[in-house]
Amino acid sequence: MGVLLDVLGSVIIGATLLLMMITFTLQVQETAARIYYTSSMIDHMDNAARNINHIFAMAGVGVAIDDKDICLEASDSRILFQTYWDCEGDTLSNDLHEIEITLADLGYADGKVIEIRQDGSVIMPLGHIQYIEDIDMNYFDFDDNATTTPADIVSAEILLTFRRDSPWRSDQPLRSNLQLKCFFMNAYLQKGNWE
Amino acid sequence: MGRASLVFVILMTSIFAGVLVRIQSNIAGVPDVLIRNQLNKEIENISDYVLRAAVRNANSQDFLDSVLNGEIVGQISHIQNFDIGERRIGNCDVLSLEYSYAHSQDHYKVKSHIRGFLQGVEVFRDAEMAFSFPMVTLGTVAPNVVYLEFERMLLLTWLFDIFNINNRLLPDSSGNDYEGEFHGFSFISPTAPYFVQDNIDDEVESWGGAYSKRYIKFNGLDNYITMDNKLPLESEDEEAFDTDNDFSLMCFAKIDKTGRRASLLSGDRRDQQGTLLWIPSEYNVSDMQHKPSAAIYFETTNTSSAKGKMHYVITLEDESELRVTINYTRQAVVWRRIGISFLSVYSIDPNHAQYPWNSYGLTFETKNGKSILTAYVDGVQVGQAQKDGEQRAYPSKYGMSIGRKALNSSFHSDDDRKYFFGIMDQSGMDDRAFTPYEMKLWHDGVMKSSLVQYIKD
Repeated sequence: MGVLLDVLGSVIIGATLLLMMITFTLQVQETAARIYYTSSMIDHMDNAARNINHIFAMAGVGVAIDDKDICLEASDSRILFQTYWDCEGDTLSNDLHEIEITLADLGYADGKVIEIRQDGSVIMPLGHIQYIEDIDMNYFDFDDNATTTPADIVSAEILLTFRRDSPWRSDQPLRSNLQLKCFFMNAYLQKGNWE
Repeated sequence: MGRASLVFVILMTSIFAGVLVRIQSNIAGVPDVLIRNQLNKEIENISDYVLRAAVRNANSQDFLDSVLNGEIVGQISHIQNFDIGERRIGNCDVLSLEYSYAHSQDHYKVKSHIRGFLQGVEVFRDAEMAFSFPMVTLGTVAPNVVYLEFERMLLLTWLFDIFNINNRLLPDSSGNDYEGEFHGFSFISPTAPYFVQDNIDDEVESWGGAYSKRYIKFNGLDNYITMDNKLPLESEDEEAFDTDNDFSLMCFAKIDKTGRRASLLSGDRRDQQGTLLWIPSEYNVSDMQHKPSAAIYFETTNTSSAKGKMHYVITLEDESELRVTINYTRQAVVWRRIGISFLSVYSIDPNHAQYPWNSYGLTFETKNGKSILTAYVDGVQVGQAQKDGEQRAYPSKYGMSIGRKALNSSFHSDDDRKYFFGIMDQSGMDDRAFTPYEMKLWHDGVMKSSLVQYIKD
């Protein structure tokens, strides 16, 4: 009987210690997951901002702004503009391309996607930005006045809402907002008023 | 019982191991993400810097001549490849720089390719910029536009003279091929590289300002440059180089603070110096000798003081004068006197690098019924003189003199020529009057945005 009690006691003590270890380890694991989630999300947001900024900057390359409009269409969640820059190959081309940045709901569990399309085709992997919940774009003219007229647009203020499921509770997604201002840099250079 | 305990322990151990593996993978991934993020930030900055430097290289016609072979027709390019570690900045290596002309000087392109590497993480970044020939005057094939950069090394001019070979020509970057000819004695080369002290106290060749790696020395004794009034190259205009109704004169210079004192080669010349740019009016008429069509020169008013006067002069067609004179204090010690009294000689003082380059600009224009002269120092307007009536500047048939007044020796001695004692860089003339903003851009070495075809960075 004494032996049985000793065994039971040791099992209980051992199990308690193991449970403590597991609990502690799970806490560490959660912390690591949060760090990883945060840093990877920052990285993702950073890349998204860089890609969108780059695409905006290349708008109007080779397009004589006095002859043609650079921006063709613009709404809260979509913009269409022209450029001779081949965003697919990331090089200058002889053809005028139409570049579109739009929010698409492809039915992914992870959320919506910002698609960057060149002449109707998604540029991969640059133009497939995931974990997006919403995008809101406001446009400005050369004098930095708000405008909705596509022909006047040379910059955009973009509010991106990223959404990603929590590592532990998928019913409580974590949202991060990012606001950036993107310029049609190459169009700006052409419009530079130096007199 | 023992079996149950074993199963329990194995179960617990498996769970524990699974959790540990997940921790490891999560934690191990964090540094890579952070490092990539850091590298991306760093490589962005490095890429901008390298592209800027490469564009700066592209501003020098001589640099291009030295690396681009062949005629500037069609697509030609030069690629500088570097080994890893050869051009390292921080954690980034410059892998290659590509300079290319596409069909004409109006389509010039620079591409940079950079690699970043840190703790096993590697990122790459390409940047490129295409532009028309960058400086306002460079590549401009129009009459009365000349731009001398003094980037060419004129080695042992005196030796070439013996063999009757002209090794004294300085190229004109405007495309007009006006060329400047160096006169006087220089033992090695009148143009010298610009050196600065780096952070480990070594002298390194550097850009001294205004897009230039070399400058030209004027010894205040017999050094000067002439530019003949030739016809511009490949221009339909048949008029030779001349002043007109609208033009700009400009140069960067460091005027020696103390002036040239008595030395082995000459007497005290402190009050006989200071001509920067001089376009004569009538070279053969005595009373027009000191009336330049256009000129910028410094006048020593007190041989023991760095203070003096800076003059900007235009002689109008009716022989009247527009003049702006300002008080000006020289700042740089450029030449170093070695030796004692009249037995001394002069050499360039390397410490001149600590003094900034000053720029001097003159614009002349006729508009709104007036003839207007505007004077600039360091891209800032310092004075203006005007006269009613739109008159052109006095016609000139004698080109330009840099570093001394162009005076006819029948009427004047050499002392009257006021040789320049200092160093100079980037001097020239444009056929239109720069706006104050353009003059500031030129001084700051900033490219006009409208010259940029596109940037990808």
